[in-house]
Amino acid sequence: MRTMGRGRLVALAAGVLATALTTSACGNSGGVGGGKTAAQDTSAKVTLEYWTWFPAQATLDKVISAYEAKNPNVTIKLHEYSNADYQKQLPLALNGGQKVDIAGVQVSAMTNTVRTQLRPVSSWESNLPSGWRSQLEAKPVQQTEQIASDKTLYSIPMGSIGSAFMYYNAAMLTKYGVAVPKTAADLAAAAAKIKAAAPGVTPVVFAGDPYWQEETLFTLVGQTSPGLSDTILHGNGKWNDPAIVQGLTEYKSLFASGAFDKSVLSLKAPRPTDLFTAGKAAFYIDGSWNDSLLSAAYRTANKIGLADVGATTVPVVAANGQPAARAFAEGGLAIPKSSTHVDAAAKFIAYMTVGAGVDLWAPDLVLSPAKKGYTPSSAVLNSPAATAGYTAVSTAINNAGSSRDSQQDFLTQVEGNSILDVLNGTKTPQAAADYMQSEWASGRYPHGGK
Amino acid sequence: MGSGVEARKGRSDGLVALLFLIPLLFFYGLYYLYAFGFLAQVSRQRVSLTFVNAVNVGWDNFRLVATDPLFRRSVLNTLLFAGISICAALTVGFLLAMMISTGVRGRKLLYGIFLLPSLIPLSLFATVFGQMLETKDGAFNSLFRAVGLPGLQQDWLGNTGSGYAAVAILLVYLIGLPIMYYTSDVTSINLSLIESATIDGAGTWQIFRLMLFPLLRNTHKTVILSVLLGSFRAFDVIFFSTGGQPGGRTSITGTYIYNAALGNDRVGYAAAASLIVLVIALLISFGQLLLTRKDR
Amino acid sequence: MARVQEANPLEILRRRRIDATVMQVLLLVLALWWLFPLITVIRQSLQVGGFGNYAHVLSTTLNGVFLPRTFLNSFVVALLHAFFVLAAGSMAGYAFSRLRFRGRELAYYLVLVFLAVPATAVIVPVYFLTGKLGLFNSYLGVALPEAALTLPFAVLLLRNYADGIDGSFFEAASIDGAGHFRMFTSIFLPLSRPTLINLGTLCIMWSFQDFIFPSLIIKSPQLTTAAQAVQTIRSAFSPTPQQTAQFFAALVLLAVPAVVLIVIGLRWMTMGLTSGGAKE
Repeated sequence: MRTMGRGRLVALAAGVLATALTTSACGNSGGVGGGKTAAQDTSAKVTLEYWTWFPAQATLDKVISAYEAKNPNVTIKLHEYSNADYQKQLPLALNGGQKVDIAGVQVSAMTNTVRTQLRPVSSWESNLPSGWRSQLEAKPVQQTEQIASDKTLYSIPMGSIGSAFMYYNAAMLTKYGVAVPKTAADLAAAAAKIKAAAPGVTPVVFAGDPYWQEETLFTLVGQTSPGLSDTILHGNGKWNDPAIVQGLTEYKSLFASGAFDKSVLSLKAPRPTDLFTAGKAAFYIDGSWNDSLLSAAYRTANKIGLADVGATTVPVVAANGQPAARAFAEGGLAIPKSSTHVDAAAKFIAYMTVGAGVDLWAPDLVLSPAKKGYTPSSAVLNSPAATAGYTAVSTAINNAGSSRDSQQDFLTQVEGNSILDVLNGTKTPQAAADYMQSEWASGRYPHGGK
Repeated sequence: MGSGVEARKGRSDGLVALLFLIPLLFFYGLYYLYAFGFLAQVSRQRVSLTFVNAVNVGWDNFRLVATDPLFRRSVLNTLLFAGISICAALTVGFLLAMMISTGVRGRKLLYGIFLLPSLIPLSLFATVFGQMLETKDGAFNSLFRAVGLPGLQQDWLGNTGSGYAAVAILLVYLIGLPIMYYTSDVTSINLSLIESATIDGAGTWQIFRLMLFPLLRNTHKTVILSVLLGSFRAFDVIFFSTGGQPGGRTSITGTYIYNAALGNDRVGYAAAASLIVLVIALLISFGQLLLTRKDR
Repeated sequence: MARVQEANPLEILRRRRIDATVMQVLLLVLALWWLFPLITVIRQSLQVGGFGNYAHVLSTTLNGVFLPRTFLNSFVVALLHAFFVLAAGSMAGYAFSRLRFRGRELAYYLVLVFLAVPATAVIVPVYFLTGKLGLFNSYLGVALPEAALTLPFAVLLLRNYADGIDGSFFEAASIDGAGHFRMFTSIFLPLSRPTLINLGTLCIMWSFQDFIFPSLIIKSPQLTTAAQAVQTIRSAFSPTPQQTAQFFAALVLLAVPAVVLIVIGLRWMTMGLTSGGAKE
């Protein structure tokens, strides 16, 4: 045991994990042997091992059974994990040589941790329908390519997500005669009106956790400096840039003006969602994955008693500002080197990204599909507020000024807390910005400040 | 072996002792000796939890940990929270135990109630406690409004003082083990001592404070030891309640290391922080042992 | 045995009516404060959906986690932990108390110096070791490091206890020609039963409370322990009013095994506390 190399160790650990997980997930593990090359097994029965964290299992089950019905010689075995767990499990499994045919890849969080175990898309695109690139929005594909440190496309993104957006209880706004706010002043006025009419309602809610603060900060900063988030996170800018100091000042001013209430900072996710869906909040600031709330069908299925929900961009603070959001490709589908059924896997990936599969998972409204021209049916979006909201969010995602990216450990240890310090009045915007910059450059966060 | 007391006196049982100690040595060898060696090795690397592709960075991690203001605050907080727990145990814990021991009605039930928070998983208690801290609809502020004390309402995680107050309240809830020690030890006190004190006209409070408190000197030592050890091991208490808020000001060494270990390629950094914390912890155990040994 | 229930020297103080009433009222108020978190969480669990929420979380899997199964998992880990600690601890306690060998005191203090080792400080090597030993997703993988951290305390407790045993027991046996293994099994173990039971109960309690090792080592929902489930089941509940209430119902249920353990095991936990911990 002691002489075992590191590689062996990881293989062992991953093997144990994988065995335990495989047996627990679905019984036996198929038994289509390794060794065959991709070209040989087109006619034989094929079992594809599909690892992912997205979308919801119920949705995936639906997509997979539809695919299997059309392709009777293919069986897809799904291994689904929770979001955070998946970031650790997939690299462990792939480093340990686990056979995976299709791997979901969290484009910004995981591409570089697993890319050496993945086949570049160029090596299997011959199995995709010709012209597949032109059927997809250019931006998410380009982002997926650029995030890899060797600028190679390793996965095909299913869609994009963006933040921050502001969801609103459309029925409540109508009831109190509040128009959808476009500027910070509008929002402050709306909040005052709602507070007066319904003291039990918190006008605006969002997560007070450190991680969320970055989303609002960069959205506000993006209203005047759309590319600054990219510049800083790529190491070409400074955290104490005057625009960041201004963004912090603006964020704090929203509390001073009464648009935001300081009590909101004590709400931990998912508590804000909870308040919003219970009708105890008028506005809810969060990411585009909440587009589901726009769907009446989703609300009915989840017993959410809101009559009508809309969405808009975060109100503009500075006089010269433009509505902004950050967005990024998400839901990449890749073929690992350990796959023995490359062509069958590629066909399924085509189905999920440019084929009929999109119509099955996209109505969840969690991702804005990368496939061009997708619009949800009127059964999904059945009110003017919902339709307008969906358009506003997808437009903002397609025109996003910066990538929705972050340096996770820097964010949770330094950045989030510094922003909260400004909001709590413990630090001045300038002091907080200077502290973030000095920590960023300190070397404590290996992937920061590079 | 065992050929009479006299014969054994001069002899060493080294081999037998070794046999008896083998199971212990197995655990110590693996989880302390090997583990510390591994920490020492990893602490000079930049590496992820897969432990592949390590980059040697020399003593950088130690320098970075030692100069991080957040780390220093975490160490100080750990000591401060240990202090709060000890104070709470010696005052509130002691008094509760004494009052329960006077045989009030429903004492078994009361005993169970005061022990409850300490005996359920800390992750569970801290989670429940954490969401009671919400400013607007949280249970604490609602309670203060309901009983006519709105002045006690706090923006618990909104400023440093309130954040510490929240942790202090949480720690006071967790004095079950000291209560167990005190209620258990007070039974061994000589009945006639208390009887004569009551005849001399000492008040109940005086008996608690001037008589029982000094008499339970050894229990205090046990309590301090156990609370101190518990405090250094604390992690879930903070992780699930304040999460270090406001602004990381209530973080402790446990949450600091945990966050570092799960960071991107920061396992070496976490190992360096672990070693520094271990040295502090070992020094504390060592000091504690020296103190208690004198009295033996 | 169960000291709380026994005649207690402090009970004389009950004769003072006024003081007794004051204490009774004070204790009742404080008890309400101590129950406050429990009352809060039960109220939240019933806000939408009522008691049906309890039935629901007991009959479904939450992110693959089945609550009754988590109790079983916690219990198996706890038993393994207790077994390792009792076995290794009692043997070491005996050795440090009854055997003479060079460097005994030094070795004893070297063992005790690890009393304050925090679990978080060893997560990195434990993660590595667990992989090396192939113990991910196993009860053993959790119980071994837990036992390692409890052992210093066990050795302290058991050596103190062994030192307090009347030497004549051992001398008599020794004259009868008994070796150390026989003295260990037929004198030391039976005599230290109260301490062993006390220690075992504490081990079980600590295992039930442990979050960090299960969360590090167990990834399979089938093996999830109760303390770990607090975190892993969270995302199984959508943030809708009813499901939030169901989450709180699940939290209440996760406390049940510990409460049952208290009711059953409290007398054993208190027993022997004086004999070991608070020794002169």
